[in-house]
Amino acid sequence: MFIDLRIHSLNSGGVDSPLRIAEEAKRLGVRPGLCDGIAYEGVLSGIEVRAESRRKLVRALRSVEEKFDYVVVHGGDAGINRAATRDGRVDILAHPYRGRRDSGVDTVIARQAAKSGVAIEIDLWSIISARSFARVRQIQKVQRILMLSRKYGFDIVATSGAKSRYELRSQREAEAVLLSLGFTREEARHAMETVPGRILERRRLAKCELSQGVRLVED
Amino acid sequence: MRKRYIAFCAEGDRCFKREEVAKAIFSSALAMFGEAGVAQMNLWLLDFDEDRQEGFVVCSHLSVDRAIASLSLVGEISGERAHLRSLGVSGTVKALKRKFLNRSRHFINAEGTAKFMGKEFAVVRESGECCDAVPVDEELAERLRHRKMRFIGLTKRDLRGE
Repeated sequence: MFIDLRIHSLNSGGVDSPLRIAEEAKRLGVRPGLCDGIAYEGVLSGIEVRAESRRKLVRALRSVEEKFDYVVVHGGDAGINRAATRDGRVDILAHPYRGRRDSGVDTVIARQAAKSGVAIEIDLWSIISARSFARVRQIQKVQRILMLSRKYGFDIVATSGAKSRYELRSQREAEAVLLSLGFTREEARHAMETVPGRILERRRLAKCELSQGVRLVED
Repeated sequence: MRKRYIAFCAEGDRCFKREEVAKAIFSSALAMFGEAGVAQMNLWLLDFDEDRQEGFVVCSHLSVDRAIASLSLVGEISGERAHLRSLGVSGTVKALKRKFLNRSRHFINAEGTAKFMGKEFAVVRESGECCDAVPVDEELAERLRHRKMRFIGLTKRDLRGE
């Protein structure tokens, strides 16, 4: 099942209530993750950390509460991209290419992300919404990230980046778009299911950890 | 050449005409795969029911993924946000109709006002648990305009305050 970890509801710039998003995602057969910075009951909830500088990012990450299922950093700035991939508290670096001419991921960031386990996000909406030459640039950026991922081994996580119910995509649709961007079927499934599943599992285990090496085991 | 039929439904804040949907699908396919690519795909819109807002395209069996990508890369139709949702793939029209078509949801007009998150909305249509509403709040109206949409998506549980 496609686990879509970056969806925005009315509470963070979207146009649908969290329940409506959950309802629409259920129709599409997608497990939704709402990235509103609010911990909802029964729905995967994440927080998107926005910071203007590296120092502010570190401070913001320190104050992120444990109640969230995953932590996303709003990427785009070169310094933020680099700082986020170095930090073990971050799960996903969202759209490192936003507002940039390049992909926002260089060899240093690629090595760091592979080492720290931070996944680099590719949002489908940035490709769907772009037209003509802007889409060409966007696809080039995604292909560059894919090439670096193959070389350095960091994880790519695919999301819809949806801010409305019409921007959500089902697993089959997302897979078809990723295939047309140059992903293999295995890579696409890895980015849609395995990587988000692994992120959630890691967070769940971290929540159960009482101290280093001591974990609360459920019956 | 073996053919594959792909059922889809158009979802948006209004009903779309067949010509609008055909134009959206072909411009999306042409933009992504080019003229030679679309010629190889043998992509064609065979039917679109304007009442039910669902239809199907035909393509070659080797280009099903490309055809689905063309449908899902449609972000708007005639300047309004829309989603051409792929429902399923089949080798015959008969099986396609039996398995996937005539199942889309229908919105019916509704009336009433509602409050959610301390803001007022005028409910305009509903389908099952889902209902669409027009916001009174100017900031939300601007947000909708920016996303090329008309309605805020809510559920009946939201309106009941659960």
